Amino acid sequence: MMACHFLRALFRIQQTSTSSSSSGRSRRIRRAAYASMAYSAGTRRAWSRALLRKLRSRARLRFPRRLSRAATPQRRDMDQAQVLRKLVPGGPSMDDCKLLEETADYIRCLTTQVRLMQTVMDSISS
Amino acid sequence: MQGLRAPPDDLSVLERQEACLLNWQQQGQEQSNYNPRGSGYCRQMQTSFQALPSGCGGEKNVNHGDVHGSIDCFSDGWPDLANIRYPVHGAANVEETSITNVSSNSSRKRKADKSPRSKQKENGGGGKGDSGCKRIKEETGGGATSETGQPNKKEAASGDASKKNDKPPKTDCIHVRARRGQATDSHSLAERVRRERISQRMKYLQDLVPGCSKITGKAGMLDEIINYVQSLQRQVEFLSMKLATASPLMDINIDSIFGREINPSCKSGSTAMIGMSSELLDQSYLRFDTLQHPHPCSGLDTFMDSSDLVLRPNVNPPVAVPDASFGSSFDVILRLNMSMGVLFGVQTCKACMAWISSKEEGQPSPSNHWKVKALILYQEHYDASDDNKRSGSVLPNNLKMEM
Repeated sequence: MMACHFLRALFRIQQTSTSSSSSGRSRRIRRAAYASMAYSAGTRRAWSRALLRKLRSRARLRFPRRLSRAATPQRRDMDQAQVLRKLVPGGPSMDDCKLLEETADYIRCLTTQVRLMQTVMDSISS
Repeated sequence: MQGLRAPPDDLSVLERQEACLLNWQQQGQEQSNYNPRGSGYCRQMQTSFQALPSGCGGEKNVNHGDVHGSIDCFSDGWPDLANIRYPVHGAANVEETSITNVSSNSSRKRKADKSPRSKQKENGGGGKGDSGCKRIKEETGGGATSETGQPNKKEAASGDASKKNDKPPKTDCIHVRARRGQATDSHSLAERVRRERISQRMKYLQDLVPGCSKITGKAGMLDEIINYVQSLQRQVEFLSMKLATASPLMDINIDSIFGREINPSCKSGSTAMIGMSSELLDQSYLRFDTLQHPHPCSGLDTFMDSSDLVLRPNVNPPVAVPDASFGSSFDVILRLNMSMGVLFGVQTCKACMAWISSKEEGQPSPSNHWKVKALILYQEHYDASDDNKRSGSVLPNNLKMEM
C-alpha cells in the first residue's frame, strides 16, 4: 500500500515536474513519502490523521530541522516530552500515554518508509 | 487434653480456654523472670504442633512459623509442662481456626487479584510480597487477640473476613492495588495507572528503537527516541533529495514498473496472456539490463534455467524466447523482487506463496527450491514491517505481473 502509493506519487512527480528545480522536487518527494505513510496507516492513528489534515490543507510540511537544545543532558522528562510532541505529527494535542503509543507507531512507519526509499534508491543506482 | 478433642468452633470450650489462657498468661508473666526452662518446653510443643494442624490446607505451611512464633512469645515464661499443655493446645486450636479463615481469605484475595497482577507485571513481585506481609500482619493481629483473650474470636475473624471480602471487588474494578503504605484515594490510584501505562509504552518503544535496551531511565530513553525519530525524518529528507537528483534513471524504472502494472492483460492467467506478459518480461529484462548489471551465474540462475525447461512447454509456447534470456529475465525479476522486497507486506507475501503453490503443479521439483529461496527472502524482508495495513487487492496483481 505504502509502496504503491509512494511509487505512483514518484511517477507523477517525475512526469509533471521534470522542469522544476531539484529542491522543489525533493520537497515534493518528501511530501509524497509522508503522504504515503499517512495513507497506509489510515485514519486509525492520531499521527496519520494529523498528517492527512496537514496534507489536505495544503500546508507546507514543516519538520523541525535540528533541535540542538535537545542534546543537552540536563533536560528533564517533561521537556523531552515536549520535544517529542513537536516531532510526532499531531503531538501537541496528546497526553503522555497517547504520545508514546503514537510515537511507537510512527517510528515503525518511518522505518518502513526509509527502507522503501532506500530500496528504490538502490534499484536506481545499481 | 480437653482442648485437643473439642471441636475448634465450639464457642463455650473456646471461652473456657480463653479464661484459662488468661490465667496462665498472668502466671507466666509473674514467673517469667526466674524460669529458664520455658523455651525448651516450647520447642517440644512446636514439634507436637507441627503434627496438629496437618488437616488444614496447604496454605498452612507458610503460616507455621507464625503460629510457633506467637506461641513462643507467650509460652516463654511458663513454669511446667503439665500445666502448659492444656492452654497452649487450646490456643493452637483457636489459632488454627483463625488461620483457616485467613488462608481462605488470602486465597479469595488471590483469585480477585489475579487480573490486576497479570496486568501489572513489573509489580508482580511487589504485589506478592505485599499480600504475604498482609497475611503476616493479620496473623500477628490474631495472636494479639488470643493473648488478650477476647472471647468471641471467631466473630472477630469472620468480621475481619467480611471486611476483606468487601475490599477485593473494590480493588477489582479499579484494577490497581495499593501497596502497603501507599495512598488509596482515587487521584493517586489514577496516577499510578497512568504511570504504569507509560512504563508499558516505554518498554514497547525500547524494543522498537535500536540500541535503547541498554539505557535505563526514562530521560535517557526519551532522548534516544527523540534522536531516532529525528534521524529517521532526516533520512527521509535526505533520500527524497537523492531521489530527486537521480531522476532520469528512475523514469525508466518507474515506467517499466508501472507499464507492467497498468497493463490489464497480465491480470488474467490464460496462456496467450502469459505469453504477452512474458514478452513484457523480456522487455523489462532489456530495460533492467541497463539498470542492473546481469548476474553472471548464480545458483539461483541455474535453478531458474532448469525450472524454465519445465516451465516453458506449458507457459510459454507462443513466444520463442531463448532459454538464457528467459532465465536471466526471470532472474532479474527475481532480483527486482528481492530489492523491492520491502515494498510488499505480509499479505503480499502470503498471496505470493499462494500463487507459488498454485503454480506448483506446473513446476515440479526445481520450483520447490526456488520457492524456498523466495520464502527465505521474503521472511527476511517482512519481519519488521508486519503491522502496516496493506491492501491485498492491488499487490497480488502486481506480483503476478512481476513473476
